Amino acid sequence: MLSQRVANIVFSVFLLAACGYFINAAIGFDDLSLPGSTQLSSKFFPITILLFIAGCSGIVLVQYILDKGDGLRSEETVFGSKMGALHGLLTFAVIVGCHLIWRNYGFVPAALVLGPAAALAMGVRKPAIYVALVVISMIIYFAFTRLLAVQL
Amino acid sequence: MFGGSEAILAALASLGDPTTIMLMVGGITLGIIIGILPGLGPPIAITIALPFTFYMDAVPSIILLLSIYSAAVYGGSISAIAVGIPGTGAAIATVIDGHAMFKKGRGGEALGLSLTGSIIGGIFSVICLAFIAPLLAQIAIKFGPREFLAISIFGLVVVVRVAGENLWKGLAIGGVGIFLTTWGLDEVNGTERYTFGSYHLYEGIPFVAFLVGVFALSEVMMNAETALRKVDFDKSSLSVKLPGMKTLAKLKGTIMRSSLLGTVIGIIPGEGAAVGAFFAYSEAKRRSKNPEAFGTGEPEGVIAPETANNATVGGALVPTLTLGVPGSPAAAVLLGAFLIQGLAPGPRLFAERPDLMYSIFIGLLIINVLMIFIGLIAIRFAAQLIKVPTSVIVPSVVLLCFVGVFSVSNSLFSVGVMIASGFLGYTIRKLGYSIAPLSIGFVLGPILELSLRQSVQISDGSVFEFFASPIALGIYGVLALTILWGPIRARVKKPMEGVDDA
Repeated sequence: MLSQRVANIVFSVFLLAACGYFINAAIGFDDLSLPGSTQLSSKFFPITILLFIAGCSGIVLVQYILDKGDGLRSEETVFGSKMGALHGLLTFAVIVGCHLIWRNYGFVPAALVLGPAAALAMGVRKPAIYVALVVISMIIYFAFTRLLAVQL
Repeated sequence: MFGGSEAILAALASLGDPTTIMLMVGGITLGIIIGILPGLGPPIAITIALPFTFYMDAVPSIILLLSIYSAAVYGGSISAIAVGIPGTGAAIATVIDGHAMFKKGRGGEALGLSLTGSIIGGIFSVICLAFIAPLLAQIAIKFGPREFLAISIFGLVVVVRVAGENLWKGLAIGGVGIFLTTWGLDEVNGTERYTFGSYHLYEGIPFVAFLVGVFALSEVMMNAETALRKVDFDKSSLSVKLPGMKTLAKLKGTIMRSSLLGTVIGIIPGEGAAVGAFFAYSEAKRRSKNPEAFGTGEPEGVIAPETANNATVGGALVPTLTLGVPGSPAAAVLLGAFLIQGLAPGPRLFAERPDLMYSIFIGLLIINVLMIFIGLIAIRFAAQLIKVPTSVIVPSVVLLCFVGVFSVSNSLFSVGVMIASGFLGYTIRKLGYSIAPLSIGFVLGPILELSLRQSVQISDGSVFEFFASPIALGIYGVLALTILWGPIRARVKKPMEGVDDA
C-alpha cells in the first residue's frame, strides 16, 4: 500500500513543478498597468503566491525526506485498504464518465447511469439498490425540471 | 441602530409570510436529515438547497439556507451519539462522551443534552450577532484597502494555524487556494491570467462550483471508500429525555462558557463548528472537577461541544455579513448564495437592506426555537435515516451536486470545475492536508490581492504606510498575540510546572 511519506513526497514535487510552470506562464502576462505609476503589475501577486507555495512545499518535501516534522504520519498509508482505494477511485471515474455522457448525450442518460454505476464501483451487488438509485435519479430530475424549471 | 422600526416591521412581515415559515420548517427538517446522514455536513446541505433559492426573494432564500445551516450543525450529533459516527465534522467531539452514554443506556439523556445545548448555543450566538454585527458594520464602513488587507491576512493565518497538524502543509494549500483566484481577467487592469484561451475562465474559476467540489464531492468520494460498512445499533435508546432545570443549573457554567467560546471562534474568519466544538470540549475537560470521567459518558462532554458548535453559526455570520469574509466553510457557501441573489455582504448591506439583516437576526431566533420541536420529532425517525446505505447516499449527493452547480450558471464547464476541485479536495485530504485553508484561501484571495494592490497605490509604494491605519494596526496586533500566545503560555507554564513538581 502507498505510504503517506511516498505520496507526500510525490505531491510536493508535483506542487513544485506546477509552481515552476505557472511562474513561467505568469512572466509572459501582458503588463497593462499605467507606466510610471506605483501600481503592482498583474504578474506580481500570482508570482509571489507561487513562490510562497513553492517555499512551503519545499519545506514539506524536506520534512518528509528527513522524516522530521509535526503531523507527518509517514508510517501510515494513504488508503485504509486496497478495496477502499479501488472503490474511491472507481467512483471518481464514474463521476467523470457521467460528466462526459451528459456532455455528449444529455442529462437523463448520465443520471440513469450514475446511480447504478457508482454503486457498482463501490462494490454493491444488490439489484434493489440499483433500482432505488434509478428511481431517486428520476425524482431528482423531475423535481428540478418540473418544479424549479431548471433546464437540464 | 440601522434602518429603524420600519425595517423591523418589514422583516417581521417577511418572516410572518406562510411561505417563509414553511421554508423554515422544511429547511430545518432537511438540515437535520443531512446532518444525521454520516459524512454530509452543512456546506453540502446548503449546496444541495442552492438551486431552490434562484426563484425566491432574498429574505425567504437566505432564511431557508440559514435553517438548513443551523439544523445540519445540530443533526450531526444524533448519529454521533447513536452510532458513534459523527454526521458532521462539528459532531466529532460529541462522539467521545455521547456514544459512551448511549452504550451505557443513557442515549436518551445524551440526545436531550445535545438538543438543549444546541438551542441555547444557537440563541446565545444570535443575540451576540444582533448586537455585534451592526456595531462592527459601523466600524467596517470606514474600512479601506489597508484594513481589508489586515483582515484577510488575519483570517488566513488563523485558519492555517488551527487546520491540520502541519503548519507548512496548511500554508502551502492555503496558498494554492489564493493562487486559484488569480485565474481569469485581472480586476484592476483587465490582463488575461491563466485563461488558457478559454472564455469560460475570463471571470475566473466559478466560486460555487469550486466550493461544492472541495467540500461535497471530496467528502462523498471519501465515503465511497467505506460504502459497505455495516451500521448496527440499539433503537430502544433513541427516545429523547430533555434535561431538567436542576441538571441545567448544574451545567450552567459549561453552557455559558461553551456558548461564548463557540461564538468567539465562529467570529474568527474561517473557523468552523468543528473547531468550536473541540475547543469547548477541551475547556470543559480542563475545568472539570473529575476530568478523568471524560470519555466514559460524561454529560458535560456532550453539552459543551454541542452548545459551542451551534454557537459558531451566529458567530460565523458576523464577519460574513459585516465584512464579506466568511466565518466558516458553510458561511463561505452561504456567501455564494448572497452573490447569486445579487447581494454583496459587507457593511453597506446594513444600510441598503436593513430589513434583510433584521430578518436574519429574528429568523435565526425563530429557527432555533422551531428546532426544539422538529428535533424531537426527527430523532424518532433517526433510526431509519442512519440505516440508509452509503451506497445510496453517495450517488444521490453526486447527482444533486451536478444539478445544483449546473443550475447556478447553466454551464457544463462549471460541472467540470466541480469535478476537478473535488478530485483536488479528495487528494489533499488523503495526504493529510486540511481543506479549510484551501477553501478560505479561495474565498479571501480576491480580497487579499485587490486590497494589497490598492494599499500599494495609496501608500505610493511604502510598506510602512500599511501600518498607518490604527484599525489595521490593531488587527495586526491581535494577530501577533494569536500567534505568540501559544509559545508564551508554554514558556510561562514550564517553570511553573517545575515548581509544582518540586
